[in-house]
Amino acid sequence: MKELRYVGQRIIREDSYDKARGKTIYVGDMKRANMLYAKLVLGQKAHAEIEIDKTEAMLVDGIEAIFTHEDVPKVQYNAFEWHSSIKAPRDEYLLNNKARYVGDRIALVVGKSKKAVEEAIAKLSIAYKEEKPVIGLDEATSLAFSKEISTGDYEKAFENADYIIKDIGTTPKIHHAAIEPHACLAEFDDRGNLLIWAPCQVASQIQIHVSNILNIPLNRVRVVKTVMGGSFGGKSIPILEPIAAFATYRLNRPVLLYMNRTDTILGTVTRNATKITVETAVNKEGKILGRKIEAHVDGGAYNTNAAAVTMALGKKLFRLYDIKDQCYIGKAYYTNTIPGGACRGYGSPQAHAITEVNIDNVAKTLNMDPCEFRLKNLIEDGAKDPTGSTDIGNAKIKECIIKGMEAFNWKEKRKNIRNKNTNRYSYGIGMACGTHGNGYTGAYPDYTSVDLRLFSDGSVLVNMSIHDLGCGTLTIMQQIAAEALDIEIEKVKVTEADTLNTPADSAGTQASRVTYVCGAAVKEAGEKLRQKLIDTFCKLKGINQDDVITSQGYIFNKQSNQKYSYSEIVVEAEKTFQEDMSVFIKYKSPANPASFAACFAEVKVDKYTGLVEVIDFLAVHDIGKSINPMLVEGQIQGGVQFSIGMALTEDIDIDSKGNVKSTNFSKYHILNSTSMPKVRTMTIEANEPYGPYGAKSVGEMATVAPAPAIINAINFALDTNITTYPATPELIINELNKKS
Amino acid sequence: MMNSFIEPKNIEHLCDALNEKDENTYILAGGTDLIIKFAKENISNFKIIDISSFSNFRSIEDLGDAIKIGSCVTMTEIENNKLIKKEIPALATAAYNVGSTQIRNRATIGGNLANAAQCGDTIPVLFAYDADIEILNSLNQVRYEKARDLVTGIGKTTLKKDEVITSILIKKSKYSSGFSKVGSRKSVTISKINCCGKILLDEDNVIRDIEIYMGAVGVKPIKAELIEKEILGKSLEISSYNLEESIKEQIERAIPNRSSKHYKKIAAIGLIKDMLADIRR
Repeated sequence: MKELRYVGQRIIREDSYDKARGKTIYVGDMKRANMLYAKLVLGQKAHAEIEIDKTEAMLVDGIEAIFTHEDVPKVQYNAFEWHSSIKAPRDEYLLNNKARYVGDRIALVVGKSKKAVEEAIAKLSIAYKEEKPVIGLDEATSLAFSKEISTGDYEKAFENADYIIKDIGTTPKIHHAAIEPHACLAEFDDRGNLLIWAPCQVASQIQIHVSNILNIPLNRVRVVKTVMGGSFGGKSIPILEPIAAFATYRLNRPVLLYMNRTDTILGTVTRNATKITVETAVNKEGKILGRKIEAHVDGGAYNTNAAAVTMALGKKLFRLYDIKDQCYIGKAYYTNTIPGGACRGYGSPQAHAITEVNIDNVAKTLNMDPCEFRLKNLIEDGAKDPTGSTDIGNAKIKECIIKGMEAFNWKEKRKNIRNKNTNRYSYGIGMACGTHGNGYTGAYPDYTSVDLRLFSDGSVLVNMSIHDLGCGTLTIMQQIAAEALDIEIEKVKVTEADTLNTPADSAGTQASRVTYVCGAAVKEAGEKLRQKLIDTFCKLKGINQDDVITSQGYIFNKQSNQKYSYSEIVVEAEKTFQEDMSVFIKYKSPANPASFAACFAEVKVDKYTGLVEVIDFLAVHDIGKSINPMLVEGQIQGGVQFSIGMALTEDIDIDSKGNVKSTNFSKYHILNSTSMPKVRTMTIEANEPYGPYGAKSVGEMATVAPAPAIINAINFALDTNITTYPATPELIINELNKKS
Repeated sequence: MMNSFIEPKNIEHLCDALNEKDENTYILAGGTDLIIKFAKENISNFKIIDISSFSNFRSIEDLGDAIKIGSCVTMTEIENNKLIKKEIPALATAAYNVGSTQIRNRATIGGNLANAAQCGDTIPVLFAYDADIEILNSLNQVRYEKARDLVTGIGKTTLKKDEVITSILIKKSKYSSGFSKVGSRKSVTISKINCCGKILLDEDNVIRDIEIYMGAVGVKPIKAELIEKEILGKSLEISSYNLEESIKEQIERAIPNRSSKHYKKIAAIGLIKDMLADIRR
């Protein structure tokens, strides 16, 4: 195979310079003539009939409109539906008719300045007639979704077991904590299209909902993905965009809808909280015979993703360990709390949070090393999904563990770590593994189109509907295109989604599909265009393919020893054959294999303050092929930060009345830099078929295994069985008190 | 109402502004709490008297037998000041432990005191050092009050509508001191509990006098008499083991009805150990 020039290289993202210098324009910075500012009014009671008196607020100077439920189209929708073929229960309005959670959107205030808007919101009189709220899974009774996935006969396996180890654990509602709060700008463009500028993950999803709610044809709704200051799933469901579009439609003025941090925590979506019960049956020899898992998912006040996340959570459980007889029961419930939504990992972090702690407990019961126990039970390369879902692919999870054990000095540390203990501090190491997917194939439509064009000056446009969430997606596509087309990377530009100008893409940037699916489409397009260029050249020069080689934007005629730039060939071909130099690729993802990781953590626990310090961390990822190692490392490090937050500090704190206490970053604790360990990363690159140059996903995968690795390390350090996330200082002290 | 912003250039100017101060007027020393209050309470109509760059309140002076710290001296300036590090080490540690670097660059000691948050990190230090607070009113009259008396509750002080803190006076002494806190994470964290200890050691390294104040276990810092009694007369190298019962009892007495007491009883053991370690350093 030809040596790779760009794939595998640490290419610096083009956007990093402007971002570092503060020059980047985010949607919140955009201004238009006659633009209005709008802000949502969020309900302050968890369950209440509402009556809104706008009289006094309307008198505030500069207020243009105050909309409530009475003013919006009576169209119910479910913003989760991201493709026209997906139908989910529709229970939301642009502005809701009742406060169903603290944070529910019940009014929209639109004015000439932010000051006027804020002042009017303070003056808005809202009467609440409270009803009893349902808070948390223990109170929940109203089912939003339920499903059982079963393989074999787990009951029989339980009968034959030497041990059955049961654990019950919980995971919290988590805020995505993207530094850019939610915002979007709606206006009519100069052709009369309703134009929405949004930092989003699926532009076409916004287009679908705006079209449906406002009854405007899809071909008049233009959604442009803007620069984004992080999403992590939080900006995946369109929340603000249809509302801003409505305001623009009604007022015929550009409207910038903005949120602050508190609004973003309360008024968007969260990672679903879960309560998961796991029972694992094993024999004395250490083989898992069967497993039963029941997951209760807190769906929040509206249906949103209740079905999808409950299914995603369950499906992963059949793709890590070789368990023939397994049963998963997933139930999602309505509660009067913030609705659930996509959040990096989409169910995988919750599933593994509890099952991987349970696996450690099984190993402990058997008096086996947790790594050795896993190695005995993990799936092999080329394993099939027992539920009949897509093939698992080139699974290198065992290699992740073996390499990780060695690099972490696992055996020696596990034996001797406790020698470091003092009266005050206990030390421990722990590990966990996990899996995640590569797109939607097997469940939902997963296709994309690429319009790849070589211009007459030799520059290249990769026209496609990409959404770079800040992960460097554009750079990845640039590297793949430059590699496939054999041209200098500086010549390649990649577009982001613009629903009236970029080709169709079924699913946007979610489900860990972009590198694996869209990247493969770009590779195919690049290779086809290069072939077209070669064919054209041969036709022009009357030579054979064998006489031609390409290199970095040039074609060589080996016969004549002449060299031509791509640019020269394009101009000549366009003139001679009256055809542009482009290809249009429709790509359907043929597979959906699994990515894997094994994580190893060392912790130091303060037995007085209950604070946990992660002092060493190693993440070993099976990623097929690293397109850009620098970005891969960044994804893994960021994923570890995300996941340590879930393990130790992050929790949207909701009291029994439904009030949220953690409404800003002084009370919602993300792990900051001083608490962040140095994350060591290793990758296993064993080539995933169908992935571009063998690549598969890493960004979501990175948030799956760190949290249980840390909890396992804490449990090892303290000899506890913590299964509640996050393991806050109070929880740890409580566990220690229980022991003594 | 129009928002207004006054930045006084001299005392007369400041007195005039204080004279006209009404319930919508706020004094801004650093703004790190005030701006958050505006956002949180949706206060969009306000008048501000900005004293943050008022030079009279910006200096740290050595008065020979005492140190005078202007009310608008920032946490960063305190943590880096050699005189304070030497004479009031606990105050330097406390200032260093406030919020983030950006917060410390703006937040002031006068603001920390006037805001009187339960978790204010410099307040237990001012209590332990029996600091005198210099206060100016709109008639250009000065009065003094002990920090311990000035703070009366959560967010409550004896400051009148037309008064402003001008400086904090702390007498020099042979005492050394330490500060510690416990929050939800290692740094950039709000104190769940904090403390300042001030001790006098004799030639044999025996603690001859001690003063400990603990914050966030009451409406304002409490004097930890039980813990003081346990430590007094012992060496600084004392093992905390003997202290556990007195620490737990101290917390029990301070917050008998709070569910957080179970955690704080244990956390305070670490807290006192860290404070003593800070003194030893």
